[in-house]
Amino acid sequence: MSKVSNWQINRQMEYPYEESRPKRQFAAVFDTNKCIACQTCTMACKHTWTSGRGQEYMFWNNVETKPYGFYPLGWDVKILSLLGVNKWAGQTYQGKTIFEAAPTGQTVQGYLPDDLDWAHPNIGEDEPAGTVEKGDFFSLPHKIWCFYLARICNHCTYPACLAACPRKAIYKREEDGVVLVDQSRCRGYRECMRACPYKKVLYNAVTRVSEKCIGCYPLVEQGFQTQCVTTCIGKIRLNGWISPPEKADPEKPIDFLVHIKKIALPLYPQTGLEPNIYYIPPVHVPLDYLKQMFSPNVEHAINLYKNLKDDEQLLGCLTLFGATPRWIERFKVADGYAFGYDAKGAEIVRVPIQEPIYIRPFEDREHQAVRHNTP
Amino acid sequence: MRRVWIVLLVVLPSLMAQAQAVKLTVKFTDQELLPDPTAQIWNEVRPVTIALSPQQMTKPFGGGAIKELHVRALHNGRLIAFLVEWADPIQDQELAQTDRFSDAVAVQFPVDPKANPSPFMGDAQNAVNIWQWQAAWQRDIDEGGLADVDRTYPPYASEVPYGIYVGRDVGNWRSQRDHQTPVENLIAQGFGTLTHQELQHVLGKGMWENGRWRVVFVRALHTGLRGDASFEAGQKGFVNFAVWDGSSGERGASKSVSLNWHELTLEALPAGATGTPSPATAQESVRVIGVPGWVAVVIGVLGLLFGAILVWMLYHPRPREPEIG
Repeated sequence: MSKVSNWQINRQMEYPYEESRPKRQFAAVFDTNKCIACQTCTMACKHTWTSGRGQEYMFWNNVETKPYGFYPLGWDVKILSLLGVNKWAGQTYQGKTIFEAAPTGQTVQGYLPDDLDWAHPNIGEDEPAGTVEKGDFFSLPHKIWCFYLARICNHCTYPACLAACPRKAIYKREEDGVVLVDQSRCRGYRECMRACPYKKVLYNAVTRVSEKCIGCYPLVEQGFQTQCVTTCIGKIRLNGWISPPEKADPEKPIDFLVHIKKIALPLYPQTGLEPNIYYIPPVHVPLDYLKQMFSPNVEHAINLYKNLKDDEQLLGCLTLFGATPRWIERFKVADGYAFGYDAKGAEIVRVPIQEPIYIRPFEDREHQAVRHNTP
Repeated sequence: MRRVWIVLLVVLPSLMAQAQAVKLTVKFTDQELLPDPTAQIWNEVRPVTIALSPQQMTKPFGGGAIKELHVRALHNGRLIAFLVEWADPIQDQELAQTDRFSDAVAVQFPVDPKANPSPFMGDAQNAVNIWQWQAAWQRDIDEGGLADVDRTYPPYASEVPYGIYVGRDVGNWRSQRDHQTPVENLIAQGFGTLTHQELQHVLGKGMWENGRWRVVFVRALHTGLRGDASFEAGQKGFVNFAVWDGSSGERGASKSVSLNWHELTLEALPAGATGTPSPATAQESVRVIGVPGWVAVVIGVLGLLFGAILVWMLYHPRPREPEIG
C-alpha cells in the first residue's frame, strides 16, 4: 500500500499504487436540482453502447430516485454499512476508506451484488421519504422529499476496480483519466464488480468479461461532450477537465464550480476513490441525508445555490450546461452573456444569462394578423 | 523489506510443504489416449493424492473449498494424458449470471524443464505452461455452443441483431462462441500474468457424477509452440495443480493450490516401442490444430514471405516479442 493524497477527504490515504494523476482528468457536474428522471441520458447511453445480448441489464448511465431507488439494489446503503460510522471532523474524513477497511487478503472492502439485485433499475422511482401531509412543501428543506440521482462511472482518481483487478486488466488513460477495462485481458473474475462502491463495472454474461462506462472517449477525443451530457433535455450536465485543487483554474468551468465556488460536490467521497462526477446537491433535501452522501460541504453549496441570482459568474457558468455538444475548455461571463471556448480559444457558444423578453401586440398590423392567447 | 516478506511468504510455505510433495509417474501405455474420463485404461493406474491449501500469497486470498485432488497420468510415446478427480457436491457450470462462477481445475508445468520457477504461476524469469479446464466451457461444448442469456432467464423475448460484442471482437478466447476444447492453453510468468497461448491444442473432457468431477487432459508430448511444456519419455519434470469451486465464489486468485512442485516421471518407452500413435490417435492430434500439417506449413511459409515483403516495403523492421503480462 502507498500513501496518496485525496483532496476530497482532506488527508492522505492508503492505495495499492502510487499517486499518479493523468495529464487531464475527465469530469462532469450534474445539477440534481434540475433533473426530472426522464432517463433520456440512460437511453442515449443504452442505445450507443449497451444494446447487445449480455448487456440487457446494463445501464452505464442510470438515474435513481433517492432515498429508495438503487441500481443495483441497496448499493450505497450496503457500502455505507460495510464502512461503519462515516465520521468527519470539519473537512477531514476520519473514518476508513474502502481501501483502509479492506479485510485481510482483500485489496478493497466491498461486495458482489446478487444477479437479481440488477433486475429493478427503476425500483423506488418517485417514492418520497414519507407520507405527504398538507403544507409539507412550504418550508425548505421539505419535510417529505425525494430527488433524482443520475449516475455514471466516476472515472475516479483512485479507482477501486483498477486496484482490485489481480490481472491489471483495468487502466486509467494518461491523456484524459478515463478508466477502461481491457477487453482482451479481462478474464471475468468480477473482482472489479465486487470492489467498485458505485457498482459501475458490469459483467457481460455473453462475452463473459466485464464492461463499464468508457466516458464516450471516441467523442471526447474529438472535442465533444458525452452522449449522456449532450442529450440531457433538462440541461443538468456539463463535461470538462478538473485540476487538482492547488492548480484550480477559475476559467475552467468544472474547476470553477468544484474548487473555486465549491457548489458541486463528489458522491460518497468517504469511499476514498476521489470520484470525478460532481453534484450540485438538491436544495429541498434535509442536510443530514445530504452530508452523508456529498460530504459536510453540502450546506455551503446549498446556500450558494439559493442565492444564485446574486452571482452572475456562477449563474453564467450554469447557463453553459446543455448549451453546446462541444467540450468547453474555458468560459467567460461578460455583458450578460456566458461564453464558452474550445482548446484553441475560439468561441464555440454564447448564451444570454437572462432570456430576452418579447412582448407582441394582440393586433399585428404589419402581418395583418390577430394573435389569440390560445392555450 | 517488501522483498523479504515476499520471499518468506513464497518460499517458507513451499519449504514446509515439501513433505507433501508426491511423485507422479506417467505410465506408458500402448493404447490410444482420448479425452474420455471414463476410459477403461484409467482403471489400470493408481492415483496419487495431492493436498491443497487456500491461496494466500497474492490478493485476493481465497480458496479452501476443495482439500485434495487425485491424479493419474499416462503417455503412449506420442500423447500425454492426466486424469484429475476431486469431490465436489455441487456442479457449477454457469457463467451466464453476474454472481456465479464455474468449477475449474488447472495443471501447470515449467516451460523449461531444467528451470525451477515458483510453483505459484512461475516468475519473471521462468515461465510456466498452464492448462485450465472449466466446467462452464465443458457445458458449452456438451450443449453445442456458448450459453446465452436465454438459458439463464428463459424465455428470452427478442433477438438483438445489432449488439456490440467487444470481448469477442478483440479476440478474447473467453468470449468466443464455439470453443473446440474445454481446456485453455496458457502461459504465465507470475501472478496476474496469465496469458492465452496462440494455439489451443490441449484436449480435455470433464464429467460430474455422484458428487465427483473427473477431468481428463490430453496433449502431444511435443508441440513445438513457444511457451508450451515439452515431455520426453524416460525423463523427469515437474507438475502442479490448482482447483476452483464455483459455488464458493472461487475464481482467479481465489483458488485451492498445491504448495509445491510434484516430480513428474515419464516411463521410458519399452524396447521396440516407437511411440507411433495408432491412426485414430493421430487423427485426434490433427484435429487439435484444426488443419492438416502440410496446409499449416504452406500457410506459414506464405505468411513469412508476405511478412518479409511488407517489412522490406515499409523499411521499418520492428522486432516483436510475444505479449506476456
